[in-house]
Amino acid sequence: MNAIPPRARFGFVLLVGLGLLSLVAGRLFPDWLASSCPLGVDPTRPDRTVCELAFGGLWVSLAVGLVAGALSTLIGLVVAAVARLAGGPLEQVVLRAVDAVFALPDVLVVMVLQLAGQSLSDAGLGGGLGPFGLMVVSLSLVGWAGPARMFRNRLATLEGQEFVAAARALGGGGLHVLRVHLWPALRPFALAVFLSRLPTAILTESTVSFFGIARMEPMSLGRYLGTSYAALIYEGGGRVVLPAWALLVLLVLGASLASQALSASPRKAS
Amino acid sequence: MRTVLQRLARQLVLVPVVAVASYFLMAMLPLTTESETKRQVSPELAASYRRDLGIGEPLGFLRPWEKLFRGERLGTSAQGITGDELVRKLSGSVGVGLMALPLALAWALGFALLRTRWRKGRWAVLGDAVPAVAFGTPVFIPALLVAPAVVERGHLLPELCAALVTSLWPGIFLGTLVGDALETELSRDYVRTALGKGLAPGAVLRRHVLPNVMPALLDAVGPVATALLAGSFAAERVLGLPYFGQLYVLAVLNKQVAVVVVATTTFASLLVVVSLGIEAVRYWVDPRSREARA
Amino acid sequence: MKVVVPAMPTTLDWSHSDPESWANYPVMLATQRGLTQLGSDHSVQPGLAERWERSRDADGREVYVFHLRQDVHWSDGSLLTARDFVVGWRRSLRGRERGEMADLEGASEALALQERLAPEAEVRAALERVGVEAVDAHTLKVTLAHPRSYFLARVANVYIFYPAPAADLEGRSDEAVRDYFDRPRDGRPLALGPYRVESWDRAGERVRLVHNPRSAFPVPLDPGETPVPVITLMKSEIGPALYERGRVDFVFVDSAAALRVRRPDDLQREPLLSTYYLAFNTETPPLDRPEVRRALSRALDREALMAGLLPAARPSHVLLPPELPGAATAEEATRLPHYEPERARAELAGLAGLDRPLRLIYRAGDNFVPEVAIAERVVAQLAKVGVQVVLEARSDFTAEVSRRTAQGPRAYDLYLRRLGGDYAHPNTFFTLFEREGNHQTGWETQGGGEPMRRFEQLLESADAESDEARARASYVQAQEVLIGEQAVIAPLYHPDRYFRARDSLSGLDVDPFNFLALRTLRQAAPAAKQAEGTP
Repeated sequence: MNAIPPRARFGFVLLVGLGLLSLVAGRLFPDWLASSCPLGVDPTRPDRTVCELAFGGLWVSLAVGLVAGALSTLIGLVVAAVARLAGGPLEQVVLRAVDAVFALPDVLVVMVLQLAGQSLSDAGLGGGLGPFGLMVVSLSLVGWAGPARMFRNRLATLEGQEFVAAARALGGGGLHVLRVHLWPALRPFALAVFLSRLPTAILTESTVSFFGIARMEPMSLGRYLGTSYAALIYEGGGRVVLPAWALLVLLVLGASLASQALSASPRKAS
Repeated sequence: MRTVLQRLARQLVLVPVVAVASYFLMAMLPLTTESETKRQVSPELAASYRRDLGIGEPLGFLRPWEKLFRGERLGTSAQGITGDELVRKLSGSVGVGLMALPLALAWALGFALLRTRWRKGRWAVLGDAVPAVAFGTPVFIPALLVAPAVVERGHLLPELCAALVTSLWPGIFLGTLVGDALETELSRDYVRTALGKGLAPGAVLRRHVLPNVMPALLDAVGPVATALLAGSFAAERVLGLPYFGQLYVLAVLNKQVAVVVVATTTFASLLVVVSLGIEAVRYWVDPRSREARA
Repeated sequence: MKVVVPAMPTTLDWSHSDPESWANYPVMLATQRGLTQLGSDHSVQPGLAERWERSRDADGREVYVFHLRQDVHWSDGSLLTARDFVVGWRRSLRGRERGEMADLEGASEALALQERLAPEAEVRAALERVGVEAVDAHTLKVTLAHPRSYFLARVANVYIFYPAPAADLEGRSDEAVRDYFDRPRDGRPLALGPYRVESWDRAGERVRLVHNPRSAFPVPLDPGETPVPVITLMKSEIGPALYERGRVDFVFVDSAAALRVRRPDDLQREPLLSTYYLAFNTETPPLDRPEVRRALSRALDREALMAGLLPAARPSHVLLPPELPGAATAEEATRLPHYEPERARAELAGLAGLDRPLRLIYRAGDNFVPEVAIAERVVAQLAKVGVQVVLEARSDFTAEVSRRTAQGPRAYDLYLRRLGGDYAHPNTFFTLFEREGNHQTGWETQGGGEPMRRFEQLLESADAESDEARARASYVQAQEVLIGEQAVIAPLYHPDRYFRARDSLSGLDVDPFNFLALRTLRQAAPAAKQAEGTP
C-alpha cells in the first residue's frame, strides 16, 4: 500500500467516496435524499429534487464511465498484445487503424455511432441494447485506440529490457513471456490507463447527451446537465446546474489524480 | 526524404479510411425498408438516403462525392447541404479555431509559468486542481455563462467568446505539458551556467529555455487542435454560431446520413492538414527532427 | 426585428408540408394567403377570393365557385391565377399531409392509389379527376365529395390549401420544385402576403423574412407606423435571456424554469384551442377493452397532474375546449369519464391482464407542454390503482407512434400528444380520430368497426348540417362515443402559451391556434427615421 503515492491515494478515496455516496444516496435511500434536499426541486421535473437527479445521475455516469473505461482498456490491451505478438505488417495495420480512430475527436465519432445504433435499435436490430448499453458500446468503440497505443509502446519498451531478452533466450514463447514476465509489469500501468479513460468517457457522454443525441434513461450526470443547463440563465438557476457540475468536476479530479500519480511512478510501483 | 514521405502517407491515408468507414457504417443503417408502414423515417429522407449513398450500385461510396463536386445537394431539400455551403460553414469553424489557437498557447504559457512558481509555495495543489477543474468542465458550461452577454451582439464577439471557452481546457492541458518540459529544462546545467554568467532570468528563458521547450509544445498541438475543433461544436451550439459544428450536430439529429459521411471525412481531412502543418513547423523549428530524418 | 421561435420550420414547401407542420405555420401565414381569411371573431371573410357561390349538384356533392380578386400579384409582379390553385392542390394531394385534402371530390381515390403504391400514371390520372378546376384565369371551381360546413374556415388557415406559383413550378422535376421552396434565393419562392422568405440558414437556425411591398394584403398601418423591413426568425436556447437584454423582440416563454422563478411584467398568456391527451393503443390487451380504458381515464386526477407546473392551467377531461363554439356543456361533460379513484380501483380490481407493465411514450425535449412532468405524474397516479407504466421519451416520436412492428400493430400501449385546432370549429378536433386520421390508436378495429362507423356517421351528419344547434348536438354525441363509450383517449388539459413582446411592435401576437402571427406586424417608426423616410 505504501507504494501508492499520496496523490493517487487521494484520488482513489475521492472516487470510491463518490461511488459510495451515489450508491447510498441515490440508490439505497432515495426517499431520504428527496425529503432532505436543501436545493429544492428541479424546475423542469417538479416532482424530483435536484439532489435526487444529481446523485442518480452520478451513479449512472459512474457506471457508464467504469464499464466503458474497463471495456476500452481491455480492448486496447488485447489489440496491443495481438499486435506485438504478431509483429510485422499486421502490427503496422493495427497502428494505422489506431491512428485513424485516435485522430478523430471522441465526441464526433460517438455521435455517429449513436446515430447508427439508434437507427438499428429503432428497427429492432439493436440486439437488446438499451440507451445505456448503446452508450457503453459506442464509448468503448471510440476509446480503445488510446489505450492500445499506450500499451503497445509500453510493451515495446518492456520487451527491450534485459529480463525479457533473458526469458526469450531461455526459450520462452511469446504468450508465456507476455503472461509471466510482461503482465505483472504492465498491471499498474493498466490501472492508470483505465483511470485515465474514466473521465474521458464520462465527459464524452455528457457532451453527446448535451446535444440531445443520446437518450440516457435514467438520466446521467451529463444528460441532466444537458437538459437543465438552460436554468443557468435564470435567477437562482445556479442551484440546479452547479451541484451536478461540481460532482462531475470531483469525479474527474479523482480519476485524473489517481491515474496521473500512478502513471508517473511506474518504477516505484513495479 | 523517404521517412518524410512515409510520415506524410501515414497521415494522408486517414482520409480514405474515414471516408470508407463512415460510408459503410451509414450504408448499413436500416433507414429504408420495403414496406411503407415499417419505415421509420420520412419518405424524403429514405429517398435521399438511397439517392445520395448510391445504395446497391457499384462504387456507390463515390456517389456522395460525385454529387458534392457537381454542386448538387446532399440530403433532403429542407435539411441537406451543398458543397459550397459546407465549405462556408467549415471556414467559419476554422476561423474560430484559428482564434482559439493563440489563446490556447497564451493560456498554456501563462499556466506553465504560474505552475513552476506555485510548485515551490503552498499553492502547489493548484497545479493539479486547475487542470482537473478545466478538464472536468464540459465546454458548454462556460459557454452558457457568457452566452447571455454576447449572443446576437455581432462584431465577432460570439466568435471570440467561442474561441475563449474552447481554448480553456486545451490551453491548460498544453500548459501542464509545457510546465513539465520547462521544469526539466530549468533544472539543467546550461541554465545554471547562463544564470551564473549574469544573464537576466527573462533572457535565459527566452533565448535558451523556450526553444528547447518548443518540441514538446509541438507534439501536443495536434491533439489540442482536435480538442479545439471538437470543443467548438458545443460552443457554437450555445452561442448560436452557424458553423460546421452546428451543421454536423443538426445533420446527425436529422439523420442526414450523406451529410454525415461527407462532413466526417471533411473534418478528418482538416485534421490531417493541421497535423501536416505541425510537421512542417517542426521541421523548420526543431533541428533534431531534421537530423533524425536525414 | 428578431423573433425567437421554439423550432425551425421543417420545410418551406407549403404544398408538400410535413406532419410537424406547426413549426412552419408562422412563416406560411406571413407569406401566403388562402381563398378566405378569418376575421378577428373567427368568422370567414374574403381572402384571395372576393366572392363565392355554394351549391349542391345532382349527386349531392357540394360545389364552390370562387371568384378570385384580380389585383393580387405574386411578389415578382406576376398575376395570381386559378391555375395556381390547381397546381398547388394537386401537389398537396401528393404531399405528406395529403390526408387533409380528403374532402375534395376524387381525393380519396387518389390517396388510396398512393397508399398501395400504384403506378405513377394511374396516380396522375386520378389527380386530374380531383375536384379542383380552373374555369378561367380568375374563376376556381371546387367540388367536395360531401357537403362540409367547415370548408371555408379551413381554406383560410390550413396552408396546404394555399395556391402555389404555377408558372415557376411547371416543367420542373420534383426535386427541383422542392429545392425551389426549401432553398430560397433570388426572390423565390414567391409570396402573396406582406412578407417573403429571403433566406434560410439551416445551421444557423435562422429564417429571414423581408417586407413584400407588392402584396395585395398590406400591413394595416396607423399614423407613425411602418412595416418591419426585415424579420429574423431564430432559434435560441437562451431566448428569454436575450429578450431580457433587448437583443430580440419576441420570445415564447415555454420553459417551466422561466415561468417559475420570476414572472416578468410583460408576460402574456394565450389560451389555446387545444387539448393534451393520453391515447390508448386499443389493439393490444389489456387496453383492447373499453372498460379498462375508461377505468384508467377515471384514475387520472387532472387537477393534481397539472398542479404547480405552470402559472395557470386548465385541467380537463373533455376533448373540445370550453371556449370553442359548440363545446359540450358542463352537464354533458360530467357524463364523460373523469377522476373517480374509488370507481377506477373497483373497476380495475377484477380485471386480468394488467400485471404487464404498460409502455408510455412521449416526445423528448423541451416543450411548452411540461411533458416530462406530466408523464412522470401519470405513471405515479396509475401506480396508485395498481397499473404499472414504464416511460420512454422518444426523439423520433412521430415515427415511433406510427411504427408497425412484426409482433403487433404498434410497439406501445399509451402515448401523450397535444392536439391543436386548425380553425375554430369542433370538426378540427375530430378529424384526427376518423378512420383515415393519424390517431394511431387502432380504434377502428374496436367492436368490429361498429363504433367507428357510428362516430363517422355522427360527424358526417354534423358536418353537413346547416342548423347550428343540431350540428352541435351531433358533435357532442361524437365526443361521447370517442371519450365516454370507447375511451380511446383520456384528455388531460387545455394548454396555454406564454410569450413576451416589445411594446413598440404592434400586431405581433400568438393566435388561439398556437401560431405566431406576423401578418399585421408593424413598428412604431423612430422619430428620426420617419423624418428621413418622408420625401
